[in-house]
Amino acid sequence: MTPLICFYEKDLFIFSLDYEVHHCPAQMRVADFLNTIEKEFFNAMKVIQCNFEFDSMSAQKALYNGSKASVFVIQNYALKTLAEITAGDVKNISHQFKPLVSREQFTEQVKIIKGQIAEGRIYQVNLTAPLAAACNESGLDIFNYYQAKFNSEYKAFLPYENYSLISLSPELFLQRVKNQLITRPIKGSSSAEKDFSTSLYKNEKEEAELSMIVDLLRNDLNNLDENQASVVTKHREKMQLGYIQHTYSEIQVSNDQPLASILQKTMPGGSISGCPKIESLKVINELEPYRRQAYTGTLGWWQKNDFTLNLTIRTFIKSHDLLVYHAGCGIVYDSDPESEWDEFLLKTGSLHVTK
Amino acid sequence: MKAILIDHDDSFTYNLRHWLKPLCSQIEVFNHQDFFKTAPKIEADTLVVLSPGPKNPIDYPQTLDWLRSVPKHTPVFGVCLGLQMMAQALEVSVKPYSPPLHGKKSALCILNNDLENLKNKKVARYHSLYCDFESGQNDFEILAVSADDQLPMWVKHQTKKWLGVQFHPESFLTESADLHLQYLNNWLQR
Repeated sequence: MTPLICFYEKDLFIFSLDYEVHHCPAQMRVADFLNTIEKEFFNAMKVIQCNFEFDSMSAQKALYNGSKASVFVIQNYALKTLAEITAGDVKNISHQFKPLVSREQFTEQVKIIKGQIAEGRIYQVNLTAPLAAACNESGLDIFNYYQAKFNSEYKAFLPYENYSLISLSPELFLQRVKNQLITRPIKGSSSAEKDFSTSLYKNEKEEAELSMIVDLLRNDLNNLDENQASVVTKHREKMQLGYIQHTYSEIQVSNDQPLASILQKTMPGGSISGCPKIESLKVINELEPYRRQAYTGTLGWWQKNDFTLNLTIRTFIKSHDLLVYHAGCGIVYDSDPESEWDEFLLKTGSLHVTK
Repeated sequence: MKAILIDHDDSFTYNLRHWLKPLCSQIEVFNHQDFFKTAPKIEADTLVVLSPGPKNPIDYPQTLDWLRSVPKHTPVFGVCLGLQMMAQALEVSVKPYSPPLHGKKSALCILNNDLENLKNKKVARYHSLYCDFESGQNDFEILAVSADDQLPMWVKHQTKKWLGVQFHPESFLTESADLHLQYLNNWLQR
C-alpha cells in the first residue's frame, strides 16, 4: 500500500499504510457527507480533503478526475519526523513547467478585475492559474524531492486511486484545540531577497490586502455563533519561507460546533477567494478557465473534536503522466498587471518554468 | 431595541452584527432577497440596518423602492453601500471614486458638535463609489468628513429618521468603534 503522510504537530507527521478512503458522492452535500463520516468514525484518526468549489457546480475545465471531498479513515498510523519518512535515496528530478494561462491572458484578467473594482463590484480577487509538466516519477518520489524545497509547516501526501496530491502549504486554514478555533491567513508576498520592512511592512497595498482579508475572516468566524465574537490575535507578522516572505495575521473564536457546519460557513477560505466573497467567486468562475479542485481547498487531520486543516496552496497533483501546480495572487485596485505576473512566477519558487 | 440587518451579499455583515450587539437585544439578519420576499413586519422599536456590499445602489432596486416608501419615523442606518442607497433613493448622485479605497484608513474631521469625541479617530474605508451630496438640492446633513480627502463619512437626513456612514464602523481597523456606536445610540434616543 502507498503510504499516506499528513502534518500533525510541529515536526511530527502522521504516517500510515493502513487506511480506507471514502469519497463524497457527487449528488451529496459535502456537509452531509462529513456529518455521516463523523458519526461513523468519531474516534478514528481521519485525513480529510475538500475542494475549493465545495458544493458549487462549475462549467470550468477539470484538470483531473477527483471527488469534491474525501476522507481517509486511518486504522493504524505512526507519528514520524520527515527525516524518518524520507530516509533513503531521493531521486534527483527535474520538471519543465509551462503555465496553462499565458502572460497576456493573465495580465488581461488583472486589468478586467481592476475595472470591476473601479465599478464597485468587488474589492479584491485572488486570481490563480495552473502550470503543468510532463512527469514519469511516482507521486511519492515527487513528495520526497519537493518537500525539501518548500519551507512549509503543513505538508501532506495523499494517495488516491488514480492520482496523488502533494501539498507543501505554509498556510493554516482552520485549527481547533480545546474549543478554540484559529485561522492564520497569509496575504502580502515578496522575494526573500528584498527588505521586509520596505517591500511588505511599510507597503500600503500589501497592508490593505491583508487587512481586508482579516475583516472577511472575522466575518466568517462571527457568522458561526452569534454569541461568540472573534478576536484578531496577530496582525501583519512576518513569515519567512526561504525563497519567499509573507505577512500573515491570526484570528480566533471560541467554538464547539461540528466541523461540517464550520466548513459550510467558511469555505472557500477568504484569503484565496476575495472580497466580498460571493461576488469574488463569480468573478473567478468567469475568468479562470480551469477549476481549482483541491488547490485552494482545504486538507488535514481530524479526530474527535480537534482538527488542523491547511489552506491547500503550494500543491502538486500527479495524475497519469502529468504534474500540475498552481499559483495565484491577490488583485486589488493598486495592482500592476506585470508585477502580479511576476508575483505569480515568484510563487512557483524553485520550479523550472517556461517563461 | 431590536434590529433587522439587511445583508446585500456582503462579507462584513456578521462583523456589523457583532458591532451592533451592545445596542440591540435581538438582531435578525436577512439576505436582501429574502427580506423583500417575506416582507417581515417592522415594529415601532426596530432599527433597520442596510449592510455594505458589492456593486452599485441601482443594482438593488427593491431596497431603493423600500427606502422610498418606508415611513419617515422608521429608523434606518446605512453602512457604505447602505448610505449610498439612501442617497440614490433621494436622487443624490452616486459616482465612481478614483482611486477606489479598500482596506485603508482616514482620520475624521468633525462638522457637528455631537460627534466631537470622534475627532481625528481613524476609520476603515472600503469603497469604489461615493455620494455627491453637492450635486443638487437635498436634505442630508454632513456630520463628519475624512480629513485627507474631505469625503462625507457621517451623514444624517434632516426630516427622515435616517443615518449613514461611508466608512466601516465594524472593521477592526476603525478606532473607538464603541464611540461610533454610542453616537448611533444617541441619535436613536432623540
